[in-house]
Amino acid sequence: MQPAPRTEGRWRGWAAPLLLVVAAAVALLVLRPWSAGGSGQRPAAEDAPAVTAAAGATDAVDAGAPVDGSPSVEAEQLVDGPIVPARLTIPAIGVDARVESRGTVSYENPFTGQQVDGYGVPTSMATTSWWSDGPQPGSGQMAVVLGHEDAGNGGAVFDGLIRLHGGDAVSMRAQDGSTLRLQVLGAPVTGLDKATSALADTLNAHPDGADVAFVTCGGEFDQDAGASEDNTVVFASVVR
Amino acid sequence: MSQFTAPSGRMRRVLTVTTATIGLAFLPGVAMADGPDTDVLSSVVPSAPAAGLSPADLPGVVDELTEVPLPTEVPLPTGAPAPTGAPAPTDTAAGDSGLPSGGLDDSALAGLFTPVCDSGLLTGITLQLDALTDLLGQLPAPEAADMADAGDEVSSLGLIELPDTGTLPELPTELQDLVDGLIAGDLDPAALTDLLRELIPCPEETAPTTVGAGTTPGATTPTTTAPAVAPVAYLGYAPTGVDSDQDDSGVPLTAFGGVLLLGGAALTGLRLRNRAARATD
Repeated sequence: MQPAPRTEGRWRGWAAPLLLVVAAAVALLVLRPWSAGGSGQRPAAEDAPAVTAAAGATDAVDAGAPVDGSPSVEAEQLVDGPIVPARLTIPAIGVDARVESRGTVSYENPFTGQQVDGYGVPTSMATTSWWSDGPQPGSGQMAVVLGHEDAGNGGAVFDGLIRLHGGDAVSMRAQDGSTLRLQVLGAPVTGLDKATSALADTLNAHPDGADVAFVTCGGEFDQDAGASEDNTVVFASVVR
Repeated sequence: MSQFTAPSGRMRRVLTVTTATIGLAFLPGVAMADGPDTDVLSSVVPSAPAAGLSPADLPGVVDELTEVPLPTEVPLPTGAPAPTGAPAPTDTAAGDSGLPSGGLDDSALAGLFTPVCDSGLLTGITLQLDALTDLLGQLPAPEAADMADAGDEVSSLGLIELPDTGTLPELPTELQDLVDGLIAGDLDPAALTDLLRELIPCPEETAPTTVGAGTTPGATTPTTTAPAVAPVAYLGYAPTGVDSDQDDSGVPLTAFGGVLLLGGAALTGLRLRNRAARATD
């Protein structure tokens, strides 16, 4: 005589593989944004803010209309006053990226071990961030815009920042279409040692007429520290 | 009345007498009106010994100056240094009619007052005690001339002989009013203020300039600038670097997800196979 089938035991047996499938699906969904574009980029391991699926990752250069989940930007209207930047375009190095607003963040400097105040960095390798605790672009005081640099395979938004030259065109556009025309002031400033105050010193002693400072990393990538050793800065002024 | 041939010299003499008169007789009151910190008369007293005067003598000096005539010829005070950078008077009897400017040190007179300005408008005058002390030391003996006569003479000079195209076109009238007020003992403060603003112009706000007569040569006031914007203290740390070659966390996580998915699928298949086998049995 056959024993009666035990329904409860049968469902218990299915639970484990179902849970595995669900967990796998969730893991893949969470990881998928970083594989978009094929570069596998992610924000710097060095104290980058937590990344979520809503970060809106795209290719480092997403030319044309925004496809990275950022709200659409109105038609361009040239201004020379302060704006809250929503999009940054640097044709010379193929940058057309969303601009996030990031304030001041407390970090542990991996080179000094000290707790320091630093700039909030973009949540994506493909986007840039404006230091929202500082001046606005076009305000008459110098704004700071940051982007990642990938010391490995490349593919980060500011990989080409070091190739900019004086006079290269830059534009920053606000959500309402207000656009600042800028041009690069001179060659990039490189080799700003993160173990020192070189970055702050350079920014505080910025050239006359500098309205925006574009900041990224440079130099060797220190595996122990998990960070690039230097910073690179490019200054730009509003074309009035 | 003597005829003068050097308008600039006359002007200087007019200013000399007027400034000395105003300074000694009226400016203390004007300055005191600005507040206790500008109580010039009381400030003069401690400085007076340098000029050979005792504090008790000062009011008397002022009174005497208003009562006694000025000298027709002004001798240099004994021991007083000769004016530098200016020609010595050669014919005071012919051309100066006894006005005392030739005997006064121009530099002391010029440095007597410095303007205090607000938005390009004269709001006060600082009396330089050192200059005043020097000036008092150069004044002639009080019995030389009558101050009222000097005022009349100044008035006449101002009305008749000031240049028509001078840089101070309204000064003669104002000076006349002032002297009339001095003589009558009924000085109009507004007239005095206007005159002082003419005599001691404020420099342009955008560019420091040398102030005019009655002030220290070369003296300037600070340039007025727009309100300063608070400087930005830029931060010194920007962690914007990554090395994707050394980035070993993304791939394992992806692989982990794939392994989970494959494992789940395998387990599911195994269960289905076992179930089918039991059903066959």
